[in-house]
Amino acid sequence: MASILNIAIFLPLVGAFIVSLFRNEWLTKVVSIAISGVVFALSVILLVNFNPNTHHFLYRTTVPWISSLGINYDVGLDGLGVSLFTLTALIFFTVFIWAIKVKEKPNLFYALFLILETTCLGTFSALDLFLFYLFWEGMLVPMYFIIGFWGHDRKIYAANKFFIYTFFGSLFLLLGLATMIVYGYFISGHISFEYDFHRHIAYPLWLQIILFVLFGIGFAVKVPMWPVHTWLPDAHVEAPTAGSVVLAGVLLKMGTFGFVRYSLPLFPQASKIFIPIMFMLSVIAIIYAAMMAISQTNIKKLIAYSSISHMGMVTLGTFALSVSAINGASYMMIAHGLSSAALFYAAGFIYDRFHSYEMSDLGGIAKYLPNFAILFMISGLASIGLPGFSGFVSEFLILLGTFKYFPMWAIVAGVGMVLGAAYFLYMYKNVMLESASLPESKIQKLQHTMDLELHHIIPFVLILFGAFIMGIMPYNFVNIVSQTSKLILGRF
Amino acid sequence: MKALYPDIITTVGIIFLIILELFLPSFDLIGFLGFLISFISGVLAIKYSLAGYRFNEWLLDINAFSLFLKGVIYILTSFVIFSSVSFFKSKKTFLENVYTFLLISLGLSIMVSSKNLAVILSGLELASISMYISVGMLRDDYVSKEASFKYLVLGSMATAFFGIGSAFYIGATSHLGIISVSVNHNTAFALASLFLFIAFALKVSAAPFHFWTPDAYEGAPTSTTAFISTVPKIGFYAVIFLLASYIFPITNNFSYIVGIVGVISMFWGNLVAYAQNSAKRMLAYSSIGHAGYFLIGFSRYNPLSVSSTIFYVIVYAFATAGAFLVLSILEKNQSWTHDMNNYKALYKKSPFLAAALALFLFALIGIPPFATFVGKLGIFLGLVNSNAWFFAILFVIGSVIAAGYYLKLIVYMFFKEPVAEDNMSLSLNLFDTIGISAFLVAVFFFGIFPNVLFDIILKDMFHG
Repeated sequence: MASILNIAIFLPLVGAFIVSLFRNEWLTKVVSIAISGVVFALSVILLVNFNPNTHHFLYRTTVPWISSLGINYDVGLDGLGVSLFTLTALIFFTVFIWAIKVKEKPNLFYALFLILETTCLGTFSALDLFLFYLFWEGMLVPMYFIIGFWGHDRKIYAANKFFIYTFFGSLFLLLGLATMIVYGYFISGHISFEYDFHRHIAYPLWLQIILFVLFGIGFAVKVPMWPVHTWLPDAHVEAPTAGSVVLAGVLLKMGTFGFVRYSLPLFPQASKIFIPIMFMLSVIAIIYAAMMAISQTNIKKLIAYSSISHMGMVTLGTFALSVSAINGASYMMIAHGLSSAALFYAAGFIYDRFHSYEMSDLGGIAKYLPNFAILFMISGLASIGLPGFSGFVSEFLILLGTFKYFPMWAIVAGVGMVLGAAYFLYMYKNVMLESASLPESKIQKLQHTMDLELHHIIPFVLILFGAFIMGIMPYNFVNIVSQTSKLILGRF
Repeated sequence: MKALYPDIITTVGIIFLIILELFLPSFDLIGFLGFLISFISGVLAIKYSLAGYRFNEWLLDINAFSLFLKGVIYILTSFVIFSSVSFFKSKKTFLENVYTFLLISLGLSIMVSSKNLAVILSGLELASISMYISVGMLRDDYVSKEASFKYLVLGSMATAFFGIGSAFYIGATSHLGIISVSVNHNTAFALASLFLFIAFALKVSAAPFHFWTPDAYEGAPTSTTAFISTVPKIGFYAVIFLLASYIFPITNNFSYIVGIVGVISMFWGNLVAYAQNSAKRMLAYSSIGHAGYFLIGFSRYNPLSVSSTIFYVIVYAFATAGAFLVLSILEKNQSWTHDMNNYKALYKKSPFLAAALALFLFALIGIPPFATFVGKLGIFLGLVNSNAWFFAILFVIGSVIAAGYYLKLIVYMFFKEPVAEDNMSLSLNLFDTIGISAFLVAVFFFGIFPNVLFDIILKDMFHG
């Protein structure tokens, strides 16, 4: 089984080599879809075979790599890891199908996404800090080019902003890693980048605080938390659809994953001290981003702000420090990954057909594109937490867990979630409904617009099916992540 | 005695090339022979280094570490010669640049083979004078000559500082060897450290001693810039390492001077780089910024930080030389100036060159999996290890600032539309491709397997 994990991580990279070697458009698309399909299948195998009763890392491979610095090639998955791994594989699979009609530089497009897939999968499975950082930073360059090449009008600004913000955060993370490793060296006498090694070190409180801040800056930029969120709306609006989907579906999860995997278990006491601050930032993100979303006229920006709001929920649940809240946070990472991906697909579809994200240019679509209207509605309802979809379970668990110890915060956050329904329905009304008041020219145009095609429907169906399954059978999935949550809380 | 072979081979080779040029003035032949001589010397030096040869007579002190440095210097020289032949051919210069490069590397090699200030000075001067010449190689070009003269004047100041530093040193310790000395609170000794440090800060273009750098790097033929901005740095930092291990720690708080010069240099280089419109000049400022990183790395004597700095200098040399060589290939096009506007949509004209330059720039930013990242990580580890938090945080800020201007060039190459229809054709011959690829492979390889270099450095560096 361990070899399956390694194959799944590096198969996309091999694909990227093949693609850039042959540069044949048809071959590129077949290879990319096939490879991402295989990776998705492998990830499902890993998920199904995952033993939910253990908190150990499964599918582990450890190979010495840079022995003089104590660096190993070390990968493995725990409950949270395997869930995010599967999510990543699914999102990328759908992205490759969705983008099949990309016209501009298709080979480079697919190659960059394949590289990106390897780095994302690697981030969630790396158990060596060096390897983790390698994958974590490795996603920067492909994403930079994806935004810069295939983005919209202000793509250069957005790409640079994305790069600088993320790089700024990562360097603090790097400094944090260095500090941690040096402390490990002081007390044990050898340099080690192993995650397990560091998990068993009890850091003194002052060091935990420093490390928490350094790691926290790195993760917070990625999540993104208020006030370092400003790169996200720009990056989302300017990125191509596939880029937005990966950004919202996978890359944002790296930040919260970092909090759960590194900050909480490695610096438990500091995490406790920082609870009020993290709560404050999360609640500001939830409310402020939701308010911002309501005031947007650009649908992609609206969805981007809704992402910030939802990710605020995740950080809230993470730091509520109860099993169900952390379960909920992990669940929400997946749920939000699915629902926001679906919403960005919807926005991308609208842009493909009408070449605009502005609500004023749109309206009355539902009557003429019924299939799309249905899928868009389902995506939105999944996102705002309708029972029956994964979003509901995760919000419920987070609020439940938070309410136990921090009732006031939970109430405020709950209000934020209500705003979620407001902005989505407001957008849906403006974009899809109100066909009565349309001018004649627009109706003409709408009548000649094609509804969803097969390469649009497959991604929607796969993703919404995932959200649905997770919504009606929550126990099986909560079970997978709950050992991780328990292990983390065991440190407190 | 075998430890001397690489230098002897190079010396004989240089003389042979000078004579050969009289009879067979063929660029390809001389260039290839120069490459071969340098490469063989380099491989021999690495081989002897691994075998642990040493030579400790007369005033020389060649150990495994200095053999390793010689090996790197010679191999890097051979790569640069290999990739620069076609550039010089297109500029219609004479053939002397091949053996000027060899002379520079020979001087550097002498410099790292001794712990005696007099021998170091002789090696330094051999390298420096050859460098002044190689900067002014384009005889018909006013800028090149001006650069050479400026470099000569300011470079001679470094020699003067070195001389007066040695004078104070001999006054304080009554010998010229850089060995463990025990003088405490001695003003003459402190001045000696200061002057010697200034001499090398000038040579490695650290601010505020950097004023020659942008002009010299911009004015020099681009292949020469690729050479003088990288290979000599390895030798200079090796001497700074020597100073940092024996001389700097003796004077109280002297390490702060090194660190502060580093910080000034880092911020100056990285900030002023933003104002540049010429890619070549921007890379010159980038090397001022990098001098800052390296001096910060040497500001604490700590095995991890100094060994990572040496590692960083070596891989930085590969990345920077690669970047300048890409520029030199572009410059073979007659109408090419290094103005940023020339780089607009470069990837359409030459995907390979644009991609290569972008990768070198990402390497200079310090992104994994490129080797420079490992150097950065090592310096972080070292700084934290010696509680130099202040410098570590400044290092982070400086690195983030630096990312911006490298991205600027990448943006021009990939995301900007070309201004007008220009029919600029970029010729890319096989030698260029192989040369650039070699540098790319090195930058990648040492990033994924840094231990290949790191183990040698760690093993030999502290057992001189």
